[in-house]
Amino acid sequence: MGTPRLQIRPSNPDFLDLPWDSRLDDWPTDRLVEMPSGVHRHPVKFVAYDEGVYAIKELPVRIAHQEYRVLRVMNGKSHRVAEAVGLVERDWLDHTDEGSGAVITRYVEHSFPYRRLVSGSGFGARRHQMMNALAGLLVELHMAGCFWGDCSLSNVLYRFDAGEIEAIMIDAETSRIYSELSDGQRGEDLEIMMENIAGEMGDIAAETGGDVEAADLTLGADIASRYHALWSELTEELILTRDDAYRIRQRIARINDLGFSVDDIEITPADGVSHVRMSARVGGRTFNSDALRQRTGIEASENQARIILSDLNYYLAKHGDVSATGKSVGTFKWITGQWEPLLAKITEVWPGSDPVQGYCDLLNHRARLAAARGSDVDTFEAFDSWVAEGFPGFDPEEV
Amino acid sequence: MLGRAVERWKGSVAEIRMEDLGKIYPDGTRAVGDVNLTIEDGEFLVLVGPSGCGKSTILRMIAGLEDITEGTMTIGDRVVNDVPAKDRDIAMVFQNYALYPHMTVFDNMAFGLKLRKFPKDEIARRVNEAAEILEIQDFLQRKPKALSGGQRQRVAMGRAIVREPAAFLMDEPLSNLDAKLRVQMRSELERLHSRLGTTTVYVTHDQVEAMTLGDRVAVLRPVSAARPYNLQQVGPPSELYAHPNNLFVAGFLGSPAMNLTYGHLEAEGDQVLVVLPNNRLKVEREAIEDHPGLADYMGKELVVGLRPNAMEAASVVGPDPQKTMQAQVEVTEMLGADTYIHFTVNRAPVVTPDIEELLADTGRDASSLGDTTNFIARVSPDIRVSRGETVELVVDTSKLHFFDPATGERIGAEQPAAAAIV
Repeated sequence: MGTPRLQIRPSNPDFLDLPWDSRLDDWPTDRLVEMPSGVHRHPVKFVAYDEGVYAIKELPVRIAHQEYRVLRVMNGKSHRVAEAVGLVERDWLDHTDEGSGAVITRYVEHSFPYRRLVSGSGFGARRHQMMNALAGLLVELHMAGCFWGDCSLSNVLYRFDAGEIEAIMIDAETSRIYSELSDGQRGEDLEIMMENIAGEMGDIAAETGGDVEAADLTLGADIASRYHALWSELTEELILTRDDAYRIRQRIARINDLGFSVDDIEITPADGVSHVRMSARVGGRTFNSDALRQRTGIEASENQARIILSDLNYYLAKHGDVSATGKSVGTFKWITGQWEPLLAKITEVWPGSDPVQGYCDLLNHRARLAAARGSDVDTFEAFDSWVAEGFPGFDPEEV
Repeated sequence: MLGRAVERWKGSVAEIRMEDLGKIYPDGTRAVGDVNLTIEDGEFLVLVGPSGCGKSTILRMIAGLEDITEGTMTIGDRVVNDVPAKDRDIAMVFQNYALYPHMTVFDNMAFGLKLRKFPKDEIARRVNEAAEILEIQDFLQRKPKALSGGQRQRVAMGRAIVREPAAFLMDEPLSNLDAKLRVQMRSELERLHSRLGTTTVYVTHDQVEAMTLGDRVAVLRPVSAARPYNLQQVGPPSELYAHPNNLFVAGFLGSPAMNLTYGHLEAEGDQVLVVLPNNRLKVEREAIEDHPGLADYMGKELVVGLRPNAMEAASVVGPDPQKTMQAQVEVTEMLGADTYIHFTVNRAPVVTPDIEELLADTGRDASSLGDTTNFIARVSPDIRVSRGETVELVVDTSKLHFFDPATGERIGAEQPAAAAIV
């Protein structure tokens, strides 16, 4: 018996009311909340506070330290990593000679495990969304120097991100941070991912009574191909003449299109005096979400932010003044006249849902109506139709 | 059949040879320097050392995950400096081998080969042979939940061995397991290696793991400006324990660590005595023979090393006044099979140039370490002594260690750390 040592990030509960004297599996159920989650090697439970829901994972103290360190570093570099808020050490509580530790993370709101997306023995129409999500996540982690060491479908939580799916790393027990990863390390991480995902797909097939031979064993390899394509686009070096400066802007725009921000552009002499070499130091995959937050204060995931920004820009164009002042006033009008009332209505008619995703679904529905009608459709009018049709979302086959 | 499987396996030769191997990162940081090491075909070699000593970097260089910036790496008879990882015929063993609950043991071991598009009959052959080696051939059609914990771990290992690599590379593969499972897995790995005889390179920071697993152990330490090489000593665990080449190896291997203090040698008749801060002990001939050139140090200050288990209470082994230390007990730790007695000797701790460097980095000097040195003796559990009591400890002076205080090298060491070690 003893007192736990807790290391807690600010703006979170102190967690002192939790029964740290006992193992997680023995905690009274009235202290826990049930949340959708994947399969874990170590016990994981969820607790609710006014500040939100938190996941607590019990594991040997040495591994807890390792995981907490990686998550904290990565929290400063990516939005797609579970937010680590606390580390607990209970030296006295272990049947082995190693102390027990726990890592506390903020529960990823509106997330779900991959099993929810399984259709038959695979991901059906959502396959390409899974590929984008995992390839994008791995590229982002590798850009930040994070070797995962155990990328799999179940070490990730998923969240709808407008017409895409966002993958969030929740397990970093085997991860290490380096100043940068070698090609070999990235290749090794992809090998591990491919083997893990093949195992998971084989398991899905076996569970549904199918033959492992018939499982989608190549999903991981397809994710790796997408990863390589994205990595090449982001890291490609351009050789330019001095008259080609517009291509630098094109290059930055393309990187931004892929959702990544550009931290620096490096231009160095190449091939004598007539050519220069241009490379971009790519930052996090937060280009649109940063832009939306900056302009409106709204928090959204990357693809949601892209769609919401399009809606805002369309609103501004339609309603007039494109001067800087006019844009600020227009943005305020959009927030108070469109965004806030529609979000309130979505929360009212569809409690428990992710209202930001709901707004994106509504915009998608509005676009469909407009295409069918051949003319513009008011968002509030689209809302009524969207509710009447049972909140249709993005069709993965169409995206 | 087992014999055939192992024979086929042993057909692939994987001697791994590193010559003047080095790694400098683009920012100029040197991680690895001047490594000369040959890992014999079929050997189980452990790379051990503290954080930052380059052990994982060397393993990644063998695997092809890290570019080699100096020297050569040869696997078999092929220089592999520029050979991609996938073409090196070696397998990095994951830290986590998950077993999939709905697949049979056969499929759990086979799906990696299916993924790599191996023919069906080849997959069946490899899985069956691996199952036989692992003694799980009767469980191939069962689901993992029907297996014991140990059997499940063997299936997990089976996933690696069906690849039939010429060498296994393991980077702290047990670090994610709890302590109990780690011990179990250690013996499974040892057993597997003794059956397969596949070249294995194993990285750990845990000296107990290193001492229990390796045919040979390579001790590494971080490079510094004054010492641009990592490798300190390579040898069988017992050799490293009994004859550490320098103070770093002496201090790193063994738990509790070797006790170190200053002393000097005196001749008294036909005997040699070591004069320690509190005591004068007769040095046995074996210790003198173990340190060629020790005679040159007569009367000079040197560093004397004494393993905790080279001391025993006089009440247990019988008195021997010429080899007895008086120890005033500070703390006793009863561990069941042993008792540790903590005491101090009246001399400031041993300070090597490395320690001076570390102290300087933190703005301190040697005086900040105090003027006494802590010693630990591992004695019989029957001894009952309390804090403040004086206990007589008889020292096995045939197992004394002597080091040069200026260089930290073992006196008479055949292979100073800086030399090439093959």
